[in-house]
Amino acid sequence: MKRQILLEARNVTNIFLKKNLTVEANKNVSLEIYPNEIVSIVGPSGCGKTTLIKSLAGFLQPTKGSVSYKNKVLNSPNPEIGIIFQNHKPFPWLTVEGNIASGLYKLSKDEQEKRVNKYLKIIGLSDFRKEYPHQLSGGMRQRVSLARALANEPNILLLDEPFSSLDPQTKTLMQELMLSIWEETQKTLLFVTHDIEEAIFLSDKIYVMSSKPGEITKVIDNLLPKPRLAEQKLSEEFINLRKHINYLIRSESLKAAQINLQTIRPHALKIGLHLWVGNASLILGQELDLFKKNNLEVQIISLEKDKDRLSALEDGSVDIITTTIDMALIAKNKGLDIKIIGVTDESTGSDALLVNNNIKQVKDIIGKRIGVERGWSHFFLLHILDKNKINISDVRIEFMNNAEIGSAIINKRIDGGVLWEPWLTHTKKLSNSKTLISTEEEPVIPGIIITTNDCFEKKKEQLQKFSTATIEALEYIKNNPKESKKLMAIPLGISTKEFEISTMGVTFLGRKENKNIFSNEKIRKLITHTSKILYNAGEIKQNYSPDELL
Amino acid sequence: MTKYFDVKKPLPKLGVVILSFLGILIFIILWNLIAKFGNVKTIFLPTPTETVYAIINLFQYHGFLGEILLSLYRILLGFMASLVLAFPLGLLLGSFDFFKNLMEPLVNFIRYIPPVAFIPLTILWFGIGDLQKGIVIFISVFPYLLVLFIDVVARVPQEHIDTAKALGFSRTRTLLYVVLPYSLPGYLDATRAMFGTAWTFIIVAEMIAASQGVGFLIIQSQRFIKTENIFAVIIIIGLIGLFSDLLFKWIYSKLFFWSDKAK
Repeated sequence: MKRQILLEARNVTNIFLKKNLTVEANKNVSLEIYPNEIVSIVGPSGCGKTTLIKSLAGFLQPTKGSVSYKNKVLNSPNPEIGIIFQNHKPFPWLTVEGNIASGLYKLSKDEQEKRVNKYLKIIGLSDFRKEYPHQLSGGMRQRVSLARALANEPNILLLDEPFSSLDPQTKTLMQELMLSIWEETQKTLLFVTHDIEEAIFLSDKIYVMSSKPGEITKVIDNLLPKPRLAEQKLSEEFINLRKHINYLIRSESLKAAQINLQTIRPHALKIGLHLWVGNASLILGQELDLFKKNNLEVQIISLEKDKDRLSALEDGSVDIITTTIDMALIAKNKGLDIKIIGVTDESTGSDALLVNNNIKQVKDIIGKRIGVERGWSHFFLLHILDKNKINISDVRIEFMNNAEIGSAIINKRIDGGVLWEPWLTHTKKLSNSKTLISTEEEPVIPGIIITTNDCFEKKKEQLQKFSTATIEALEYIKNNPKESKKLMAIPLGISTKEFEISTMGVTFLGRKENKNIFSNEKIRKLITHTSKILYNAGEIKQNYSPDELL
Repeated sequence: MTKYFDVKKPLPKLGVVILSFLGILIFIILWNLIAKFGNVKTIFLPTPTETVYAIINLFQYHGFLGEILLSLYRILLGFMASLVLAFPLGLLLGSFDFFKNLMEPLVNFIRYIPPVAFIPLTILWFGIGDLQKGIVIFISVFPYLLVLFIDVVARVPQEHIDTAKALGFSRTRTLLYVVLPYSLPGYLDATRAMFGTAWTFIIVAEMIAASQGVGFLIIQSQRFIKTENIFAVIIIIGLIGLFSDLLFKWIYSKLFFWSDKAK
């Protein structure tokens, strides 16, 4: 039986006007919460989490998109959705029991008494029922407002940084209390927090949010065993997951705190990359201390979006980034003077055009709706069209992101799309679709490493060491496949097994391919080819020769 | 000795009591010295002893208590009317921007006119009896009290109001069970402050036109060069102010022991 969604956000965007400036607090946030689930939204401070939770509770109508509760659009606060605000306090003029009973005025006196007793017991404040909040400690006060929300027996409780004002010990106790309350009441809980450890400890599902505008950048299923105990925070699995989320959030925190990367460890070589298996070799270099052994200080910053990596490269926040040839060409076309300095991997099946089962061959996609994400997914489609001599205007291209393409295919909103792992396997499993053509047959999107010409001149020596270390890492993968997979999976937040599945369509490149990148025939050909296709599609205004990029 | 002079460090209780009396004592001694040796005539500055005798005399033979009670009655007349009106209006204007924007310009306009300017008008309309005094008090107290009340209500934390909403409270219920209880301590504080102002204006009103009352007594004493009586009345007014203030504070600590300020 398919579970019913309890609370759902669809493309929620919140925009404010602040002193004549429009501030985008949330952008296109979509999430779904199922009954009895514990979900966390984790993101750096000031990423619009509070705005989002207010929308989810019906306090704030989203500027765009919608929130629905039990499949009905939510227009105003609903007592079935409880909410604990960031600086939650009990009503100071009421006793502990008065506070807990304050939402129960519709019940009979007997009922009220019963409920109050039940929740006094759950939060362990039975002995303090006649006390006033000013007589209690901070942690006890928070328990009172928690009980006040719980006593109303909402179907779902939203908590906005509920324990952020507590000392670490009390905080841990409150988290444990939360989990035991959950076991007892089976309430659905949604936490919004900047505390990664808290999110991992409490939840079944973690949504990672970027800094303003707050966007969901990743959804992580937390499979750590339950019931969870505080000791687990020190377990290996826990720490691995923490490491992964840390990678994801670090760049966002820097952005949110308005700290320029250049000021942190100014001498380090800064690498901007997206966390994906093809780039894991760079992370492996870090984990194996290969950079350090080459006397090179590096700092890896995860920047998930192509756009973010390119602008970081442009403003000098990072020295090198990982990308694909098509993105490099588009950047070059925009005036960024870039240079390709290495290749990491080659997609050999992990990206594919997935289509409805009734599409038999490539020609059939004429007139159909095909979803692509801007970037190499778009390029891959252009390549296929070019190869089969189909006009671009004959296909209805719809731009969306990876996850959206997957769900749109499942919901039959589009007829096909260019997808990559893990959505590829996921979508195939849940829909009547098949791989029409993949990078296995058409290996046209290698992962490359680029820098700016300026940086190339200034940091020649560092880049040389970087190349040496990267090649060492790639060779290590070739020689110790098992061990390296285990090491690379951790920062990516996946198991070794998942990593293996994800890398089935990826070929790591090594010494041979990187040795003499300038005269690598394959890369030269691909640059010419990519340039031609993008030029024909109007994505770039001039054709580039390989020599201009190498 | 230096331990009593640490920045912002509270003193032991006994020290507080001693210092409070010491301050008054020094004042009285200085007053005495100036009155006796300062080459001023007694009709301008009576000695403390003379002032004490004047107080006793006023109570014994001139019905001072009656005058005080009369002035107090006049204050209460205007003050109660202000309170009864400002109480719900404060709640309404502080909670709803609609009413606030509707009323605030008018209230501020009246507030910036010195209440004394209305006294001749009130005499024309209402004579010089108790009603006129009550009205003067109302004019001088109500606008200020209302503004203070609005401010108190506006400062109810949004978080409490949102919590009420989340618990399913109706608008009326939120007003009566959240906004009102949270505002009461602030209301009492504002009332205390305005009560002092009310004393000022009753004296002014009675000095301008009255046949009875504390202010009238001051004017009378001046007319008959009974300076010691003026001193006596001033001191008694000061004492009444001091005691009413203490009374308000005591009520505050009893009723609103739960508020942050009570500690």
